[in-house]
Amino acid sequence: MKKHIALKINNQDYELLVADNETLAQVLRGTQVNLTGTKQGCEIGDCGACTVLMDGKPVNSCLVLAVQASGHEITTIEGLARNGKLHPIQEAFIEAGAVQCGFCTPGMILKAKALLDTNTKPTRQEIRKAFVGNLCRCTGYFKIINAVEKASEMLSKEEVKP
Amino acid sequence: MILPRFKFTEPQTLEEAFEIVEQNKGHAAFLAGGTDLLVNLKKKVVNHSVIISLEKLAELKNIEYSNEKGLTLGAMTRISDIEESPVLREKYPILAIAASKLGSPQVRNRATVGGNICAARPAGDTIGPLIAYAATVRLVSKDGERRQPLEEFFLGPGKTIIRDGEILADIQLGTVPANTGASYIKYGIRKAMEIAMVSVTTLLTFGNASCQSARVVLGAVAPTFIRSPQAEDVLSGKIFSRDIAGHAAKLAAGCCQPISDIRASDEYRRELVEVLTKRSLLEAASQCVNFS
Repeated sequence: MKKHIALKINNQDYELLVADNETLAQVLRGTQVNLTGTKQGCEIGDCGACTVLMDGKPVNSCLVLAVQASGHEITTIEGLARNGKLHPIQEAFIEAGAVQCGFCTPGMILKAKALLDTNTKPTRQEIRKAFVGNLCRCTGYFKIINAVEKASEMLSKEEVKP
Repeated sequence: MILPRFKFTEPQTLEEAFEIVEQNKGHAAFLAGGTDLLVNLKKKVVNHSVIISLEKLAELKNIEYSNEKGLTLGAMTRISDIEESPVLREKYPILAIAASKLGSPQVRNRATVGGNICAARPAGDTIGPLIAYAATVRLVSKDGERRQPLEEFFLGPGKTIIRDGEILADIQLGTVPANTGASYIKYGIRKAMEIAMVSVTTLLTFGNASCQSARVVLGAVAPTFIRSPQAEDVLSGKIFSRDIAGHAAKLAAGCCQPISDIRASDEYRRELVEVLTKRSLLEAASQCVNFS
């Protein structure tokens, strides 16, 4: 069975033909959308590599059916840069050296965005707590937490600018 | 990991949902948040050729609170909405706390309270607090509806009284009397993404310095959540003290029937029940009274 769905991905409208049993993660990465920044890790909702924002909230896109996402707004890692310029959170991850193999990074950055959208100045403890559903097997998390702190500073400075 | 083939349906009304179940007897499953069902389908633990999404059923998303009637919580309420609701945090704090300990933020943004209940795991995070608050559940089917205490809803791990074609519509909680203290303790090796090794929920209502009523609910130490009537009896009608809490905790440990599994041995779980019940009772009582 296939169904037509309408999705807004990174502020762009898509009309897609998807199978009932396709997940949002598969459709994002598939030939129709072709945004392969979203990674598939465990595919059972444990690792958070496939995290995307659905109406601004982080979800595991491996556990959302594409048909269920119909009518919702999805933000993937490709949707953060503006006019060829990286998002401050992306800059912060580079500066803090928070990327090693990079597989968990898209999910981490989107989770960071969701956190900083609701809490502009999180404590280290709050950051750690926010990331319990994102696994990284390289860095030991220390630099990732540093990156989120840095991003929080960068974003607050950006707001001050006229 | 590819999901097996199935037909996805999204009824707009309960009647439509009942019709789809009727037409697909034995092959259909209801989809709430999907954080359990989709995993089980992927792992081929379950097999369903028809998936009925409950997402569009407005009746299941109702959340209403009044000081007279208490709370009606639609079964499709997301765990994150429970965790963040100012009303729930104030009126039913341990339910909000338990919600905040379930899975990860990504899981909580999808998972629902109805799904957590119907999965019927002996360690389900919202179940202990809901039983402590004396929740009842409303089950609807094409033949009508019935209301049951949540305590009597579970038959065993993954097994409930829900009949084929019945849908859990909402959960009702009465108002909590003044001078009530409550505590939920989830014990596991990790602080997050964890299934409780043991969970203890206690709720104590005080009047004139003595404990008027007590509820002690234990999770992950029996095939279903259980209450400890012995512990509750020992606390009720008495002036609360550390000694009484210790005595009640011993009785609670005596009435559970834990198993040994990958998470803990039965002896260890029993020991945990005693330690955590005492800790939980002291925490609940300290919200209301000074005691020795």
